[in-house]
Amino acid sequence: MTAPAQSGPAAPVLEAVDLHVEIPLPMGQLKAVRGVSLSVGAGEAVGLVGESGCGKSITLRALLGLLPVPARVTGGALLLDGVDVLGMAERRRQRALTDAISMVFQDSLTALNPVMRVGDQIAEVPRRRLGMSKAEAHARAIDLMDQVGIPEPEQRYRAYPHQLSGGMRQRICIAIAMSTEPRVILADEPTTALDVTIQAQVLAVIDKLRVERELGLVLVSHDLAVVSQTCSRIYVMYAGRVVEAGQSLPLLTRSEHPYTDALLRSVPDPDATVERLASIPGQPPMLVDVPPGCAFAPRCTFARDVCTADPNPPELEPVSVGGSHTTACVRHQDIDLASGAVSAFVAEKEA
Amino acid sequence: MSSQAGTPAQTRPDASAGTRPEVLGVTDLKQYFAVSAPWTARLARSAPIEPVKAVDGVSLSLREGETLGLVGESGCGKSTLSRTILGLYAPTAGEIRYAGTSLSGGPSRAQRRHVQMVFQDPYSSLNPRMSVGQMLTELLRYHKIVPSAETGNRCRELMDLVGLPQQALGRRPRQFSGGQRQRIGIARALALEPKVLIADEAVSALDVSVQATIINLLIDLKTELDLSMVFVSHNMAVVRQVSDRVAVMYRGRIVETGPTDAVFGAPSHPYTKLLIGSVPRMLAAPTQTAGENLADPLAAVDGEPEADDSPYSAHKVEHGEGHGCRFRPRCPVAFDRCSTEPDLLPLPGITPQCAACWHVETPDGEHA
Repeated sequence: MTAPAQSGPAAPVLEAVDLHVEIPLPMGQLKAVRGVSLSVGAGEAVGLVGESGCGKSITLRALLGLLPVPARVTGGALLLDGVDVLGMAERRRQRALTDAISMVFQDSLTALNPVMRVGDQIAEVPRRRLGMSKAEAHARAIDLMDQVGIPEPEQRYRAYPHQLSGGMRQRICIAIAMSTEPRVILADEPTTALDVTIQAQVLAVIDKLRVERELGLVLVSHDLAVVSQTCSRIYVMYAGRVVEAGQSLPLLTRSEHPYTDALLRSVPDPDATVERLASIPGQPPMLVDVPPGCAFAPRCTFARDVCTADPNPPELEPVSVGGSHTTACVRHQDIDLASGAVSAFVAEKEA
Repeated sequence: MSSQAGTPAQTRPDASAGTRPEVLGVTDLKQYFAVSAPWTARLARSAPIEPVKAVDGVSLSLREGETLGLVGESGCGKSTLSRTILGLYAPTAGEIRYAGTSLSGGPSRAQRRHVQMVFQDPYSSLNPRMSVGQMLTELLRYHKIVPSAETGNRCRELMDLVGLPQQALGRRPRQFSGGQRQRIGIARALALEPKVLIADEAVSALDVSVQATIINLLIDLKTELDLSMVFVSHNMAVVRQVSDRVAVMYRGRIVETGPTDAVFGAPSHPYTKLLIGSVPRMLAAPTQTAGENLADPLAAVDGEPEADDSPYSAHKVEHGEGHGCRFRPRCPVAFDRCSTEPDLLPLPGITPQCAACWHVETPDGEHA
């Protein structure tokens, strides 16, 4: 059930501390997540961004205990209301996690059961988990469909997934996620498969529910613009680690990590034409054999010997004393990153 | 980027000539797909099912050295249009011209090599069992591009052109990353020395940082080899960076066309406005783009073109095919005249911009 309002924004609902996930492969252990710490509070939206293969989806799945088979959590703690769930017995842990957390997946067509009416798919969870009667669960499903903005829910209750459009299907998935009355929603690229006009609507639905129900939201996306609009805090991941974290505005306007800066520069701007798009040379490292020190150093224009001197990857440290903006760049005080596009945007707004 | 601002955006082939001649053109192209009736309908001998009109009367003209961006939502027919131009489908009606000659009855082998495609998915568009070198050699031999003794050299040149090491020729597609595979896809298209390159969502499957390198490569190659390009994408921001001219498609038709900066700067069709307004902006408030002034009243009732199959589709309920402007059910400024479908109408003023919207002609329509 929903927690009383006493837990302020200071107490995170869900917190991962130094989480490690490894996947055994024939050529060795693939260190998919290498010490990620993140937290989400009630009513808070946090974003997890990075390129494909950086470990953002694996991190998200680890939060719900939904890792694909050979992968497993090899270190760290997962705190739900301050209680470590990783120490619990398997069944208790799954129960605790799934009661509090729901997930919305990228591809709604594969996430839904193709031979079951969408309404029944929503009603199934309240019936099984909350012990509702058939009529109660039906009414609840209709109510949820209404809340996620599905018109004529009574008629669409009987529709099959293939009869609905992508946007409608994703709304059904959101309704299913909401049906357990979760406190945290994990959304893995929820709008990537949708058209832009529909994307805006689905994001609005998620945001409305977050505000109304004080839901915590962890949004994983490769689209920095989507995350910047939806989330108040952002974690930037690279090669299985968080390399920069902080409030959206300072992080995007005054990046303190060269990777964030390079990523921001390579996003094409829909409102201006540039002479040439910036890109990041090279490729992310293979996570079986991780290079010493900063994993971004081989691709970084600012890299010096100091970046790889320490074999351990650099830890996040605050940009200013006591600030919430943290970066894992050891040279962040020596280098000057003026994120081109976004700074220009802000300057324009201020002018 | 070379500006083609002087070229008229007229889609008819006989429109006044621009700076350079047309290399590829289509006139009133239609591509319908038959839908097979369910057995119950066949038993009942009910009326035949209407075909899917994927491309429904499109006219386009691409000039030498020009990049035309083709944008629209999924299901609007942009991929079908590019595949029809390529000759992968036989068009239901209409004409495709290459360098002034009509390609009725399908392109010949010689013509085929002049229009090449870069596909979206670099994982499935390459043969996993052939090395890059074998793939390119096969093409060069079949089309007799260079003498057999020269094929090796030509393969190495192609690798240089797309920025891959020459050792790449001995490897198979699975040994490459997504960005490198897309480079191979581009090399494959360029092997035939095409005049026109059709890039169908060529960067959609890639990460932003890699996407930028491929876009830059395409722009460089276009200048270096004097290619013309049709750049098909759903990503408005990418199209803006690449294209000289843009055509916006909606449900099988072009609803707006014009120079890139004009269309993005001052979109005139309500659909173009909605599309450009919906692109998520960095740090903008979400409501700002979900937009009150960009209200999309019926979008909540299945605005998506792909939803047409749905028995709940607003389009099916509100109006049948061929009855008025196809954007009308979603249009915030629809009025009486929208019950007949508008052609592409030139905008008043000097800009070579056209929109298929009656408001363009109606001066009292405030929004035009």
